[in-house]
Amino acid sequence: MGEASDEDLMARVAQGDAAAFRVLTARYAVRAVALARRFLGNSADAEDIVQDAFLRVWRAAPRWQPTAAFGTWFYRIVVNLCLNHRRRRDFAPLDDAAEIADPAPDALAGLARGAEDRALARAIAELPERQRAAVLLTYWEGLSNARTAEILDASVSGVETLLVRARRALRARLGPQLGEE
Amino acid sequence: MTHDEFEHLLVAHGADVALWPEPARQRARDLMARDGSVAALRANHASLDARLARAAAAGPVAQDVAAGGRIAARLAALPLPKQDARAPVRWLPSWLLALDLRPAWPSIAALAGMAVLGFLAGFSVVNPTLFDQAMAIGAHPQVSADLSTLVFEPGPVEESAL
Repeated sequence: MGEASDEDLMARVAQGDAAAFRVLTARYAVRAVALARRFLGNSADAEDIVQDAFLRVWRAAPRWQPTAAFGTWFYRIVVNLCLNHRRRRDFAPLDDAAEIADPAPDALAGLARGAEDRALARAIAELPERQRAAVLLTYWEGLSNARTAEILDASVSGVETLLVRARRALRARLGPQLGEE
Repeated sequence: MTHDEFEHLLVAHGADVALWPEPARQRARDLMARDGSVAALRANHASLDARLARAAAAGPVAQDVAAGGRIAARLAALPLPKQDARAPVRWLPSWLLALDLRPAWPSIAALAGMAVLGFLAGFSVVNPTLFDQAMAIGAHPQVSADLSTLVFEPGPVEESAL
């Protein structure tokens, strides 16, 4: 079953096959949690969100239609949960503010491979949400602009515009370092 | 070509202008020839690309691998929730698709549309006047909607034959 395609596994999951669900989970958990951590800058929240995303996959499997790749659909769930999580956190009462973890230590620890990577991680963390999502999906996950557009529910040219703006912001923040390379 | 257009193409197609869509290549080369700052822009993007690629190539960090393992272990141990209902309206298209029996109506509609367009195009070539009359049927109620009068229009009958 480990060699089965995502779509075949989803067809089994739709029939209530827990073993197929476990294979899908093992296949996507690490990449999804890495994406969510980079997006949120917090490992604990990323772990909760990815687990929630998998449970949603299980519940919705009978309604899933194989008109798009499973990975596209799954990343869309993860990105939407991340966006909702950040919005809820942004509107959290001030009393709760002290309990919100500082994203910087986790984000930096995740990319602690030198000062340059830390600077890049910090610059990405400061991007607006959709620009950050477009950068992470395109450059970290290696997805095409078309698949990123599907995940973000945008047009391909819309994704290109997000990337142009994101890269301008990154170049502005990393400017002197980029010039040295 | 403006700087913005150049930058958009740079992001969409990469730093190698030879790989850009054909209509944009020459205009991009013209811009590079007359504006030296464009070369610096390309170099800057290439440097950012290298930085992003290096960070992405490093792969998942240990904490992501550990978190992924914990998620998989928890989902394997927990009782999974009840799945959503499988109403036939929901699962039938998915089931048909899985059997390569996707609904054919979009193809049939496209074929029918092409047939109508072909008929009208052919009709306009055979007799443009009749084509104009046919097109005017909807706009002018006084014109007979009976297509037979358009297709078969007998010549005037000699008075002596009456």
